[in-house]
Amino acid sequence: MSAASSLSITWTIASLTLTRLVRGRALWVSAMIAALPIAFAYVLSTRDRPDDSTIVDVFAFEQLVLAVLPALFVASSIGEEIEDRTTTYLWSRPIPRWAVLAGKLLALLPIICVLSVASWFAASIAGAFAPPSAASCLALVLGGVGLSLVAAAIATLVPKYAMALTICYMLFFDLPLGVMPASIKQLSITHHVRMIADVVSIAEDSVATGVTGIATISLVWFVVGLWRIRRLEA
Amino acid sequence: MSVVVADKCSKWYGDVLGVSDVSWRLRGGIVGLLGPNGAGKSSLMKMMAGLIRPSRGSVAVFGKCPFSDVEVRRRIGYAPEHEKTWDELTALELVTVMAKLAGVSKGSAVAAERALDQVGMTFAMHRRVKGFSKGMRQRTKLATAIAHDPEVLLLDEPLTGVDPVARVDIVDRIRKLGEAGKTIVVSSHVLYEIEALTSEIVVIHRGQMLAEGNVYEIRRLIDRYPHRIRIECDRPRTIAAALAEQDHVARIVFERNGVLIETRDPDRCYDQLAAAVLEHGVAVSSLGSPDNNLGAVFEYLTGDGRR
Amino acid sequence: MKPGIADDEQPPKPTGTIHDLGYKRYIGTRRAASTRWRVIARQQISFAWKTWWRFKAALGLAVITMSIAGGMMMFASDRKSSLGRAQFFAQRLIDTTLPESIIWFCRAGFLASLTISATVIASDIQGGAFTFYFARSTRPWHYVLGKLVGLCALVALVVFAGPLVIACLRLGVSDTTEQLREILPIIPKTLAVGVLATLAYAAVPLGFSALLPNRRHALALWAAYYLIFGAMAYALGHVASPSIAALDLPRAVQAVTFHLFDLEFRGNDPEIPLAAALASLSIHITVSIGIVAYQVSRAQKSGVGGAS
Repeated sequence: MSAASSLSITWTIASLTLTRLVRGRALWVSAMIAALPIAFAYVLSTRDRPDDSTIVDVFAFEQLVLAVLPALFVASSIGEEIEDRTTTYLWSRPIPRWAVLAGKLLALLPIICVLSVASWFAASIAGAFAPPSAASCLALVLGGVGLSLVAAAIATLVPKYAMALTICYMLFFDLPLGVMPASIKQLSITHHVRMIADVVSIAEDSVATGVTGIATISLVWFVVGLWRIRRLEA
Repeated sequence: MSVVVADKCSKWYGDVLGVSDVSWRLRGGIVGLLGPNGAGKSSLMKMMAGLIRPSRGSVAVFGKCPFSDVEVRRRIGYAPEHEKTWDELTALELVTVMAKLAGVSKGSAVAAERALDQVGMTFAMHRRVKGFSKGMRQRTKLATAIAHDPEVLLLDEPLTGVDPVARVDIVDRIRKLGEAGKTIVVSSHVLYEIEALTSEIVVIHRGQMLAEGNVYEIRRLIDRYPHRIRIECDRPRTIAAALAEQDHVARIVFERNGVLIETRDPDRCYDQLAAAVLEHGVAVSSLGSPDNNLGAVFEYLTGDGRR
Repeated sequence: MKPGIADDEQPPKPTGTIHDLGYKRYIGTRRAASTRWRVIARQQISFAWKTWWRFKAALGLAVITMSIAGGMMMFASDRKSSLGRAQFFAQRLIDTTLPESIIWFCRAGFLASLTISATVIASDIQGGAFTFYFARSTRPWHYVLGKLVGLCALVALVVFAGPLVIACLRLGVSDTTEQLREILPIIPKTLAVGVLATLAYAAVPLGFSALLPNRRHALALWAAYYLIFGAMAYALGHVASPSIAALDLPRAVQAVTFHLFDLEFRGNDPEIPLAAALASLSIHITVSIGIVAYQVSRAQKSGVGGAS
């Protein structure tokens, strides 16, 4: 199959995903979720607090938003497709199996990244602190991408409970691991997000390490997802 | 050249055997895949559509494995049994997307419109699938299968849940597709639905292929053996006396509250039975035939029971 | 003969009648209609228990928490006498293990809510189960009560049973009968905390599951409310009034526990007043049950559920 036709198929699946998303309620739910840190920043701004601690607190909540959005969009979308067996329509067509994953991610990743960054920007306005740095925006974007790939893989493994398991992964694995005072924290995407963003000063502050960490973890999960989807039977 | 070749293919779902050692060659035309629920029809069709792999053996369509060969699926159109689809889309959008994914790059909307017209769904093509009735969903599914003009159509229970009027219409449209030169495999668990479409059937039961060939041949095999009719009434001996002298009656067995008649000509027997009931004023509490169903076909084919 | 119709207009008398098709009315004993909720509750419990990980994962977490807390208590009690001046710290550990462990049971409760409670009603609506329930003489209150009781039974295993066992263990490690009598009130205190936590972790996610007809959206909303809104409320409790932190469910449960067990809040934690914590939990539970009752009643009247 040529690259052009693979791209065309991926684009078609992405359009299909976007159309369904726009006509559903997920966008509204996610907008409500993304608005929470904005409200929080506004309340904090009414208190007499130094900007630095406000920025740190609000960014921490943006990370929590990152915990939920990939679950709501990616895990839910892929899991629903597999569980409802609408993949029979897709895989009975001459499309490579990975195209489903690629198409979904192509459609949903930009939305997750835009929502996270927009929420962060809006929170900075509401909280009346300095506009977010490029590093912090990059951190949210990369975190969104990384966690989306994790969510995609989990959805291929356990489609029925993809969202719940993705949230559990974040809550019981990634977040706690990220605050551990040991090298095991390198397995946490949240930790690398904090490293890349310059809102928190961490001893080994390194954008390159953070990007590499997220890339590695995401790649492993993505490979798991690809392997699983190639073997899945509709 | 055979369109579909299944060679000793089996499919396991954990401990459950879905398809068991099926070898079959499909050369063309319309073929009915007949079997009760859980017989393995859908599994076999999914293997042909490239959705699942056989656990053992092979299934080839146009000489290629449809699971691994992406290109051969361009020549296959599959309409699944389940109803679930993307309800947020309109019928036209759904069929257009399916056409695009099947490789109709230019004019996919035109192809979709044509397909919807072929299945009689033009009037509803701009409506969302969410509000469709069962019959409309079945037609839309059929449209998704034919939009890219495939050579092989795999229709898994296309008449399930469809009202009688729509059923006649869909059967007619499928027949026309067959006349247009497409190879069509239609699965069903209802004999008369398949009979309306084709005379070539494959009978599948408990994952095994029991028979293939002309439906009349298979039916005659049933009719060669006596047909049983059971009547529960207040005067079974009266009924028995009225029919005992008839040449088509092979055996009469008295049971509690009724009588079992074995006949070689069920149509005549029913007529004479009705006449006897009316003439003698017999009060009939139940009337039925243990043979007048698909189970009887399989009972014969599997050699179970009294035969 | 049909009454009110002239003889010559009567329908022809049938010459043969089929009068017994084998269908018989059920003549055995029937359950009282008021017990229907029990059937729903039992079904809820057996369904949640089915898979190997959904509910059992949360239960496992609760068992682990209970084992660790109990183990720590037993260990401290065992070594207390040999610790000399550090006996005080051992005694403190014994006394604070139960209240400190509540937050971990709450986490297990959240895990149970993710996998079971938060999608119950949305799943029933999506799957068309309402058609089955309300095609029978099931009333909305049977359904709501049944679901609530079923979920409470499940959640109680996670957030109630564990603390109760630890409380009993605490009684068991008392040095003297006098001490045992003194600390006996921890049982009713634990019961009170257990009941509140059970209701909170059963009713509130159930309320979210009734808010949206799509189970995934309902789950996302619940997770966002619990994780993000809750954390925000807790953070605001630091900078504004500590009562705001009571909106965070686990902290509210923890605050009730700390007040009942006369424990001091840690330096950084906002000191949530008991009244605020109780008010928050009560309002959460009441509003959630109200939402469930309203949505179920509305769905039953509009005949919602499943594809046509």
